[in-house]
Amino acid sequence: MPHRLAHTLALILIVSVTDAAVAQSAGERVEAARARLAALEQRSAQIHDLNTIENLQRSFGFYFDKMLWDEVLDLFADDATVEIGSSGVYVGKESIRPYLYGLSGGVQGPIEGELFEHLQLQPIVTVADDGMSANGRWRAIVMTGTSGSGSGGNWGEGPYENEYIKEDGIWKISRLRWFGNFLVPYEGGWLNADPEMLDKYSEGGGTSPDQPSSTDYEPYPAASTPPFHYENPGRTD
Amino acid sequence: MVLICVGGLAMAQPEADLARLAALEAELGALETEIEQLEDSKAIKRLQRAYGYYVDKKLADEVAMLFAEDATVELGGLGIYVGRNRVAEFYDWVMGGPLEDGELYNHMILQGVVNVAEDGETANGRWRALIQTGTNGESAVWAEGPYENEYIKEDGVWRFSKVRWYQTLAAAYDPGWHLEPMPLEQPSEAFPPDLPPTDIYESFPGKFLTPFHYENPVTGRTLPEAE
Repeated sequence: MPHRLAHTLALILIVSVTDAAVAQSAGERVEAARARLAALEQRSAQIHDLNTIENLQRSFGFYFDKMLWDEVLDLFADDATVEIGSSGVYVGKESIRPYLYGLSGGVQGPIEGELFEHLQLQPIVTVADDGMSANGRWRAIVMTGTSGSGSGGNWGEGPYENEYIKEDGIWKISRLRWFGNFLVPYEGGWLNADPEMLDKYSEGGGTSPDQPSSTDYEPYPAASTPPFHYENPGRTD
Repeated sequence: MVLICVGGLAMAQPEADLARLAALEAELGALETEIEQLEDSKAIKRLQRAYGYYVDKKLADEVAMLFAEDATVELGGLGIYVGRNRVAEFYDWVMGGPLEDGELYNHMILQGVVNVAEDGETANGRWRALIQTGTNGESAVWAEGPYENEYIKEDGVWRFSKVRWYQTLAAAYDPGWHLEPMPLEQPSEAFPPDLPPTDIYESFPGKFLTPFHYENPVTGRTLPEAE
């Protein structure tokens, strides 16, 4: 028992001395912890933003498939721009709306006998440091077709370089730019690509763009590389 | 004893506060590790997808920049090339870049299963490539198959330490894989690999169980070794 008492006293002494040494920096430790917490909150917000933007773009694809144009429109910022293939640039929702409806003959919703799949794949999303805007590269695989029509089926492909903006805490598409690479008949596939098919697909029906094409890329069979919004991730600065 | 008890009570408040602070610091540390795992996973997916977009356009220099110094690459049945310089030469040779008019070389990178090691220094990833290549008016080809890749973090930057692609199928678009599948390519004599292929296997219609780097995420079961 005396031994144990001495041991306990010694422990208390050590703890007290240690506490005294640490107590001086307790305030600093709280400040350091606060800074670490703030950094974590920012990093967590970045991850959350990135996931939200990926959901936004994928939702776009699922609505687009079914030609749900009002749902698609709601994903855009008011002054957003849309540019699909060689469509030219449509500026603002009021201009984008008739363009989208024009893609399906003025109606919205799925049409019997018409396939309009737009797979949204391979995202590289970069959120700005301030968390208020972002860029995203994506790839679309397009599968369209008219049932019963001998050459009515098509494969399409090409990357997007899109932009996003956070308005009142909600991410929206501020620029949709699809660099269609090919749209080819199911029969023969990309053996004989005719860029005019892509032009017709992009034109929609009965609308004209507010601005000419923003970039002078050419689809397959031309070799052109739509610009990358990001630096090579393996690069050492 | 009484004295000690009183002493203990007097000490209790600051001691308790310090203990709570230490506990908070430990929780912060655990959360930092968790966030870093999420960031690592996202950085690796970004790297792997960037690879696909560069291969699309046959940008061999950009592709090589994604590899670590000692990395290896092994595509289909072509054998293994070792080290970033050889990797760069390999992509230059196998792709023949840059992309020219009339050429299609799409490499879509899909379906990532990425697992970062607990120490956050290495990772593995299984992905699927869906490939559309061709020369306009001459050829149109489908190919498909999984990657089992490895990654390493060097000075905070994730890079490939190993790229390994298993060809499941390759075939001309017309008549398609059910009628005229193409065999696996063999190591080149003109540009021989540094090491022979890891496994001898056949692509479709042959069968091959591509190894999985991960255990079944529900049962934890490891698949038996491929034959």
